[in-house]
Amino acid sequence: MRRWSDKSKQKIRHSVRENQQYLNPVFANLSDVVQRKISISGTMECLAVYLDGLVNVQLLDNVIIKSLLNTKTTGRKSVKDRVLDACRAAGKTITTTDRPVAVDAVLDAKLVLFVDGLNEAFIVEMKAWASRSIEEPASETVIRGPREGFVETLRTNTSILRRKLKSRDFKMERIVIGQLSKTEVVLCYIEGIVNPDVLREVRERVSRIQIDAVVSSHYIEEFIEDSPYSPYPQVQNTERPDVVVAAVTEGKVAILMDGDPFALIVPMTFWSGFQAAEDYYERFLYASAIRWLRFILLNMSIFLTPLYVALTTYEPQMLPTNLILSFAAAREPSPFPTVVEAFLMEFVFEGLREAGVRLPKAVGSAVSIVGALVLGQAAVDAGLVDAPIVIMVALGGIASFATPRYNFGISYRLLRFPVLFLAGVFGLLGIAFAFLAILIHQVNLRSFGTPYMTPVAPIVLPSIQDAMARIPRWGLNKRPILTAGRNRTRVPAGQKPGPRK
Amino acid sequence: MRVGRNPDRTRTWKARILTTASTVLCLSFVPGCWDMRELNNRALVISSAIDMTDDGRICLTDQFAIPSALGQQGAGDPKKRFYTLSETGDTVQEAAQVLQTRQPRYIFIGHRRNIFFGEPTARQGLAHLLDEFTRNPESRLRTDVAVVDGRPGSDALKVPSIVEKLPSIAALKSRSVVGGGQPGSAFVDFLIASDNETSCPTMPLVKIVEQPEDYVAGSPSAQIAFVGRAVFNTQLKMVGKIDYEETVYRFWEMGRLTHQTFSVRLPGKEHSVSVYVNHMKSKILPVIRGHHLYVTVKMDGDGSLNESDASMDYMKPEPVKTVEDALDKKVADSVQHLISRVQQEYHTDIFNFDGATHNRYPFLWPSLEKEWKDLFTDATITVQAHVHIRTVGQTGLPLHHVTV
Repeated sequence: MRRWSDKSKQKIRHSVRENQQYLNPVFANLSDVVQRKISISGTMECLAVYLDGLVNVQLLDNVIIKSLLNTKTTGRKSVKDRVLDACRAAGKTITTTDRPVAVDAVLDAKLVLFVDGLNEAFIVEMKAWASRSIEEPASETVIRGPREGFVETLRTNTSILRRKLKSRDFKMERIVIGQLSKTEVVLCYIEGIVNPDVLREVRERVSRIQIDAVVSSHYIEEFIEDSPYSPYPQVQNTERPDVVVAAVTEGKVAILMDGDPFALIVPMTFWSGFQAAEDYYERFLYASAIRWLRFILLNMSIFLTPLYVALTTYEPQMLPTNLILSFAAAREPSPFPTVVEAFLMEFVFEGLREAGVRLPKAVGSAVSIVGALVLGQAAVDAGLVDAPIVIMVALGGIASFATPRYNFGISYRLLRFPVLFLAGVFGLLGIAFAFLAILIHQVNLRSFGTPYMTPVAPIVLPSIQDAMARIPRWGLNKRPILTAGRNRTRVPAGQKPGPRK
Repeated sequence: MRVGRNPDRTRTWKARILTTASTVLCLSFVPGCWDMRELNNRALVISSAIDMTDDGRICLTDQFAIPSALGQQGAGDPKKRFYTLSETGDTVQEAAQVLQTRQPRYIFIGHRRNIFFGEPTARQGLAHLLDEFTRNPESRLRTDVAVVDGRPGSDALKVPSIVEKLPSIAALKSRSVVGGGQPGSAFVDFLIASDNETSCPTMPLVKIVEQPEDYVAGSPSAQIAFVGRAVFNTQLKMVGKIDYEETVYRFWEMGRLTHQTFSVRLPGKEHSVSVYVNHMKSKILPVIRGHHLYVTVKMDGDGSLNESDASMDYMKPEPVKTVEDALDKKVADSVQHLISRVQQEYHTDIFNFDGATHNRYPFLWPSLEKEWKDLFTDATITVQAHVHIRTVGQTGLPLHHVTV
C-alpha cells in the first residue's frame, strides 16, 4: 500500500517495459499470474496479464489477437479504438490509468492488456474457469421435483435463479466481503414482496462483516444471526434453487455467495425446519401427514430416552403392567443405573454417527455393521446394557434424522443430553422443566425481527394453516404476514379446480 | 441491540448464566427426594390378599413377579413366574413392613392389579381394612378387588395361570371377557358405592375351580373363575352372594352390560334356543305413593338368534314371536326373582333404585334417604323386559331339518 502512495507512481506509463518493471515485483511469487508479451505485426507491442486458468485464453488468442492482426495499422481509427474494439469483441471492457486498479483486476480474474504507447490498461472480463457441473444436491434429495442444485460458482447460481424468475423486480444486490477473499455476496429478493425492514436489516448485517476470508456461507450465517448462543439455527440454508425461489416469493431474502453452493435464507422460522422441498411436490394430504410425523419424530428424538429413564426409574406406575414387566425382565441383568446406560448408549450412538459421516463410504458401512450388530447385539447379550435402552436410543437417533434440515436435527440431538441429565436427576419433573426451558427459549428467539415460532406463537391466523398442514396451492392465497411486505396476495382466490370449471 | 460490544452488558449476562446454573445445581441437592429406584431394585407386587387371622390380626399376602422368569421367551413354568410372601400385623402397613424385611427389593405396589379378600374376612367386615388402599398414594384405586368364595384370599394368589404371564393378569382379563365390558369390579367402584348411605356395594366373587377333566401338561389345573358377586351391606360386611346369572341380570338392570348370550327353553316343547342380545338398555322408573315405593324396571335389547334345536322356520314371524315371548318372560321373571330375593334376604339396595329415586324426587329425597332400607325392602317391583330379535341367521329351518 505504501508503495502506491506516491500518486505519480500509480499511473500507467506509455512504455510496456516500464509497466512490466512495475508489475514484476508486485506479482513476485505469484506463479499463477501469466504475463504474455505479444507483438502484433511487429508494430504493436502488447502485454497481456491474467491469472492462469481463470481467463478464457482461447478468446484472447482467437478474438483479441486475431482482430488486432486483421485490422490495418494505418487507418483513421486510433490505436486505442482499435484495441478497444478488439477487446469488446471478447468481453466487457473498461480502461484504467491506475496501476493498482489494473493489479486488482488481474487478481479478480480479468484480463489486463497493456499496449505500448498508451498510458491506459484495458480490463477485459472474460472469466472462464473449471466449475462443477450442476448436480442434484446430495443434502436435499427429492423423488419428484427439480433436480438441479447450486454449484460453487456464483454466476451459475444466479443464472439458475434468473431463469426461474424472469422479473425485473427480482433483485440481486452485490456486496463484497472479506479483505483477502473479496468474496462476492448477492442478496436476492423480490422488490414489492420483500419486507423492506427485513431487507434493510439483512443488508446492514451483511455489509458490516469484517473478516479476512469467507470460505463458506456459514461464515456469514455466524455473523448475521440474532442469538449466536442458541442451539437453534436462525438462518435456513439450502442447496436447491427451487427452495430459494419459493422463499423469495414468500418475501424472504436469500443470500448467495461465491464459492459455496449453499444459499442462506432469512428470516427462518421454527416450522420451516420441518418443511422439505418435496412437501410442495407431493399431494397435500400426504405432505401434511408427513409434516406431523416429522414433528412427532423431532420431539421423540429429544424426549424419548429421557422419558424412558424417568418413567422406569421414577414413575413405573405410569406404564401399563405388561410393559413394565417386559422392561423389568430386560432390566434384570443390567449392572448400571438406567440413566448411566442411556448416556453410554447415546455416547456410542453419536460416536457411530460421527464415524459414519467422516469415513469414506466403503469403510462407513463396515462401521455401522460393527456398531449396530456387534456392539448393540453383543452388549445386550452380555447383559451390559438392557435391550429397551438400545431400542430407545436407536429410535431417538433415527427420529432425529427424519428432520429434513440437517442443522435443525443436530441442534435437537444436542439438547437431548441436558434433558437426559435432568430426567435422570429429577425424573418427569426434570423433563417438564426441560420442556418449559426449551419452549421459553424458542418463543424468545427471533430471526431478523420475525419471532421464531411464527405463526404459532404469536398466532398469525391465515398463515398458521401452512405450519400445521401443507395447504394446497390454490388455497394458499396470502403470503406469510410477518415476513412479506406490502404485496400480500400470492394466489388469487377461487382457483380450486373442479369439473364445472 | 446490534452488536454485543458493551463489556458491562456482556459481563452481567455471563454472570446471570453462571448464577442460574449454580443455583439450579445447588437446588437439585436441597429437596433430597432423589426417589430414583431402578426397576431391578423394585419388587413388583402384582396382587395382594388380605385375611384376618383367628387372633384378629391382619394377614397380608403379596404376590411378586419374578422378572427374570418373564423374559422374552416367557415360556417358563407358570408356577415359577411369581412367588408369594405372607406376614401378619395390626395394620396392613405393619404387615407390609415386616414383609419388607424378608424382601431384598423395595416393595412396589404401584402395579397391584388385584386385591383378594377371603370370604370369612369379608363376612367379618372390610371397613377397617380398606383405609390403607385409599390413603397410601402408591396404591392405585383402579385396582381390582374380589372376594374368594369360601376360602382365604391368599389361596387365590397361589393359582398359576397357564397362558398369561401372571395369574392376576389372567383374572383381570377373564373378568372383562365374561362381564361384557367393564362392569365395575374396580376398587374405585366399590368405594363409590360404599360412600353412599343408601346403596350397597358389591364385589366380584371368584372361586378357585378345579375340573378333573381339564388337561394341562405337568400341573393340576385350577383356575380363578368369576362366579358372581358378593353383596355387602352399608357397614361393608358381606351379607350374601348372587350367582353369575343373577349378576348378568343385575348389570343389565343397571344398564352396565352391553352384550350377553341368553339361553331359554321354549314353553310346552322340549326345545332350547340361544339368543345373543346387544344394545342392552334399562330404565328404572320409581314412583312414591304414600309411604310405598313402586319401581318399574324396563329392560330392552336387540337379539340375534344364534342357536335353536327346534325345527321351526324362523323366516316366519310366529316362531320368532314365540322365542321373544319366552325370552322376555324368562328375563322378567329372573330379574323379579333376584330383586325380591335381595329385598328379603339382604335388605340391600344393589340395583341403583336409590339413584333413580333421587333423580326423580330430588326434594323428597332427604326424607326418603333416612328410611331407604325399609322402603327398598317393602318396594313393589314390576319388571318389563323386551328383546327384539332382529336377525335369525341365513336359514329359516335348521339346515339339518328332519321332517317329523
